[in-house]
Amino acid sequence: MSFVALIVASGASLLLSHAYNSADIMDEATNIIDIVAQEAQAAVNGTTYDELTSESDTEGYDATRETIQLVCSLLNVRNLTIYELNDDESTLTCLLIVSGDDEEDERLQKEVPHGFVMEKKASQKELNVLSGASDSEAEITEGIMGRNLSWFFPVEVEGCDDDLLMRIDVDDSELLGKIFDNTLAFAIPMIAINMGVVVIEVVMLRRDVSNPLKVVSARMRGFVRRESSREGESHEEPLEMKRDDEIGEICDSYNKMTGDIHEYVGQIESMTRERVAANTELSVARRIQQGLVPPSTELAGDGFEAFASMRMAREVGGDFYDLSVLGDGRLMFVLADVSGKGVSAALFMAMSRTLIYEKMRTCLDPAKALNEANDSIASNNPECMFVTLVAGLLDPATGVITYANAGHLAPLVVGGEYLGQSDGIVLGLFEGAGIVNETVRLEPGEGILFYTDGATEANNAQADFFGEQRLCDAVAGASCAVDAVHSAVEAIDLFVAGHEQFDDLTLLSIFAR
Amino acid sequence: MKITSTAEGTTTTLALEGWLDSATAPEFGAALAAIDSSCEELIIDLSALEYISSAGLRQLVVAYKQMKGHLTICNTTAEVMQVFKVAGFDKRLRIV
Repeated sequence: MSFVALIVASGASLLLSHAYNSADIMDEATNIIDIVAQEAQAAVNGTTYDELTSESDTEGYDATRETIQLVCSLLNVRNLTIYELNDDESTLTCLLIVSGDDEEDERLQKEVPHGFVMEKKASQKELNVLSGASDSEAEITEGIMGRNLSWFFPVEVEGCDDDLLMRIDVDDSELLGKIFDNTLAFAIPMIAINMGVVVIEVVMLRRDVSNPLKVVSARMRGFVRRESSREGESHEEPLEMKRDDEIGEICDSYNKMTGDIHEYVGQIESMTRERVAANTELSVARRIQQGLVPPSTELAGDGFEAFASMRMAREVGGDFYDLSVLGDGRLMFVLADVSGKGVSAALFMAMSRTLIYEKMRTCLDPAKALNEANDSIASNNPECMFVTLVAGLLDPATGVITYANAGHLAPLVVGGEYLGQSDGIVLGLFEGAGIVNETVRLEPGEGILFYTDGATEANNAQADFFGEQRLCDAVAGASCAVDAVHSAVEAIDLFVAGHEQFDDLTLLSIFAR
Repeated sequence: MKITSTAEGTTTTLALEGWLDSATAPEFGAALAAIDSSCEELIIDLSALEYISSAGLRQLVVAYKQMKGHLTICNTTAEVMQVFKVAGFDKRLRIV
């Protein structure tokens, strides 16, 4: 701001000095002309109107003329004319004319006779001067010797009631040249001073603006590199510039910004560390869960073959299954779906799976195993988590499956129908679940399919469910357990057509042989 | 999921609309937590509930335990009723 004001001020002073000079020189010229006019009037006082108008030169006239010529010559006046306006208002009579230039004066004396009448209409200025108005302003006129600056004065003369007019001409170019010389003489030091001011301003500008900005800019360029390579908690030194102006504000903003970025980077780093730690734990949980429940299991024995597969929708899921052959040759199976998803479901799954598996192996009665597991879980379950499942045993000798259903979806006979809904209740919520055993007999070549709601409630982009009927149709032609499970999975994948699923998908099939 | 809660004396009615699954169960949980302690009877109106998942079932049990059994579920649609039957909820919760 201050720099702009300085530059404007120096420019203005240059212009003002020129204007002042012109006015000064014009004032000086007007003063000299006043002296000329006074001297001329004094000289005219020594003559009379008759002498001025008579055709021959008289002593008085000559003396007056000589005096005026001397004054003009000394004071550098080009011409001085005394004349009267004629009554016809379009001509004037020249009574006395002298020139400051001696040669020209001689010529005039010879060539311009007394009472020379010339055609010239009276100007407004001349009329003004005659009527007594004070008018010291010069007028630009054209004369024989070039352009003039002319002043007009009234002249009193003895023997005439009316005033005569006096015109004093000065060489215009001479006066302008003088003005120009003076201005130049004044302007050169002014320009020099201005140049000095500009140089000082540039130096100040570099010192106060450019250099500090360069410092800030250099710090900014290196900030990210320093921030990313910096170790530990130390924050870089703040930019110190004790200033109250805009540069100071930029420094403050820069310090605030780097402080904020440092803080945010720190937050992001700690969040990333936590995220990495959480992901590591999740992948550990997933490995543990996969150890408990492999993605698929195929079992074949005397009189049966079985296949189970599970696909998790998330990192750790809530479904699980179990398929194993007991010491007496019977096939034990469990298929379950824990309420909720994620880590909490996985924890609950691990706990309930172990419990159910142990109960099934020890008491060999599905309903009894599930009722005992239920009471055990329900006695301390503040989070109200639960698991729905079917657990059962196949006797390969008879093809009879004894199973208990704890609030789970009804099993499907491959190529047949869904078995009737059981009387059970989900496991883990209410003590005394009253779960009962049910039986189904498979003839050799017949199969059964257990599934979680990840199958029947698989949904496509239009939010339609895969549903029980499509599942029934998909497995109708299957001739073995692997075939039944794969047919169901393929049909579901075709149906959802890539639409992301949020539920685990687990299928378990048993065929009698 | 849209939940409308109306209180009349010591009875509060929560009307659920849309899907009650793992994504919306927390909303239902928040509505349950907001029920005034003076409430003695909770009615859950499921006339506009289109779907319920296991997470939704769990939240109903949370409500049942919070109300110490003073819970009535009404206007259940056939689809949701089928889920209740499979899970055995019809045997333990008052569903009218």
